[in-house]
Order: sequence, then C-alpha cells, then structure tokens
Amino acid sequence: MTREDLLAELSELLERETPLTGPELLSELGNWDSMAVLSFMALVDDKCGITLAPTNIVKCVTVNDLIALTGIREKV
Amino acid sequence: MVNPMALPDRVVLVTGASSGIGRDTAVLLSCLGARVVLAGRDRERLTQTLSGLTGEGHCAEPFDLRSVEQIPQWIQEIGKKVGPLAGLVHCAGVHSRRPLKVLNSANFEDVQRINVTAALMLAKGLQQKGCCAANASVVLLSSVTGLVGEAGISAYGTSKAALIGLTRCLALELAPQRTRVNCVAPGLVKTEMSEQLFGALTPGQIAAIEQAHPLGLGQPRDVANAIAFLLSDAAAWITGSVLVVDGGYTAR
Repeated sequence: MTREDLLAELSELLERETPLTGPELLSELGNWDSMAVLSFMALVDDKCGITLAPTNIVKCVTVNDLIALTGIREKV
Repeated sequence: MVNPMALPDRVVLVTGASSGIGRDTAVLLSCLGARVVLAGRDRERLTQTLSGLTGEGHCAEPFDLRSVEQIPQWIQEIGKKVGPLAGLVHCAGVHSRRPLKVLNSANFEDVQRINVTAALMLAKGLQQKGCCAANASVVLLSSVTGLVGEAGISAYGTSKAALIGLTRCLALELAPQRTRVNCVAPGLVKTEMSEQLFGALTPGQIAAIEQAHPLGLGQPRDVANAIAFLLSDAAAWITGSVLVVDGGYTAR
C-alpha cells in the first residue's frame, strides 16, 4: 500500500467530500474521535498488517502524522 | 468450620487459564481443594499458572479452542486422564474493538468462534459418556457488555449476550442430568486485556469508565469468587442465572 492509497482509504473512512492530502489538522476534521481512532487502527492492521499503538495515534496532530506512524511512503 | 464453597477433589477445567480472570480463578479453585485442569494456547504461560496453584493433582492441557470441532475429543481425552469433570469454566475469549465501518463478517465470526462456539462445544464435550461427574457445574464468562450496549464492540457484545442465551438453554437441557449452567457478567476488571483496552483511550475516557463503576474497577479475584460460588454446593439450587459482578455499573 502506498501513501496515496492510505490517504484515499482514510478519506473514505472519514466520509470526506474532498480527499485528504496530509496537512489537515485532525482536530478540525470534525469526526476524528475515539471511534475514528479504533477504525484507523483496524484499517492499518487489515490493509498493511501493521499494529499501531493507540497511545501514539492520540499524539498525532495532522493527517501526515498518522501516515508517518505507519511508515508507508509515497508511490515511487 | 464449614466452607460452603469448598470443592474437595473436584476436577474442574478452566479455559483461558494463562492470564487474567482465568488464571486467578484457577488459583482460587486450587485453594478450595479442586483439582484444576488448566487450558490455554500457551504451554509456557499455563506452566506459570500451574506453579502458582495450591495442592496437588493439577495439570496443564494446552489446546487452541479455535479448533472447535476437536473440542469434544479433547474433553474425552482429559476425562480419561484425570477423571470426570465436576466443573467447567470457560474464561477464554477475545475482545474486539471494531466500529461498524471496519467490521466485516470474518471479524465478527472469529469472535463468535472462540467466545461462543467454543463454549457450546465444551458443553457438548462434557456431556459425553464418562466426561461428566454427578452434579456438575458449568460457568461461562459473559460480560456487562452482553447486557448493555457500547459503541464499537458489536462483535464482542454480541458474543457475550449470546453466552447468556446459551446459559439459559443449556441450563434447561442439562437439568435432567443435574448439570447446572450459569454465567458471570463482570464489569471492567483490571487485567492484561483491560490494560490493552485502556491504551486506546485518553485519560479523560479512562476516568469516565472508572466513574461509571460506583465501586471502582474490579479485580480478577472479584470474578473468581463468583465463579467459585457457582461451581460449589452453595449454588446447588442455582441454574440458568446471570451473576452480575460489576461494581454497580449496570445498576443505573
């Protein structure tokens, strides 16, 4: 999975009208709550086989921070 | 002095005995005189539990309860090895926090498989010839989430509610054989599992959960006591019941 794929999956998860690009503040997304955190954890586990620590997720400020946690990079 | 919860030389199988409530239940039962058969997937962790039991006659029987079709045969082998079971406690289970958007049928069925289907097959195994002692007692570990809802845990909550239904049906079906079936519904208990759950929450959310339990969060021994009671002769006239052990969580 690439960074672009993950952004697309996250955009769909959060029911965005416009796709996420990265710099967005999680606090301003409107529906970034505890359910969203759980959903993101499950998404990354299902699609990438990566287990994220929730204590690290809650420290994230932007969408880019979330992507960085996964270690997933842009499509080359 | 009479101990109404004594379990002298009664053979009791405890699943999920590697940790948490299952482990503490096994320890308590050994103190009450039972001969405990410890079940779990991890032999090393079962051996650790075994080393903490009181008395003799205990053993560890590693088994993966996800192999549900093999459970009755496994019970039969245990029966041949240690004698008929006077008690069966199903503490093994998985927790699942998957909101609906990321929950699919495979996730859902995986949870039901070990939490519910395994319980059914354990009871089925117990009913085989030579496997069940007279006046046996089965205790299934449900949860308050089987009684009240909580967002994000549909699979888990469903499985715990299913155990309540299973308890009631089996209680009626097995009453002619004088086998009692009950379940315990704990609130949030401090275990390794709950520590993992807390890792997903903010301090504010954790405080809210603690405040929702009027008597505070529970300890494994709080639940083990209830399980031991239901296994014992002190509960000889109790079957098909749900014993809520939750510090007042569901009293609201």
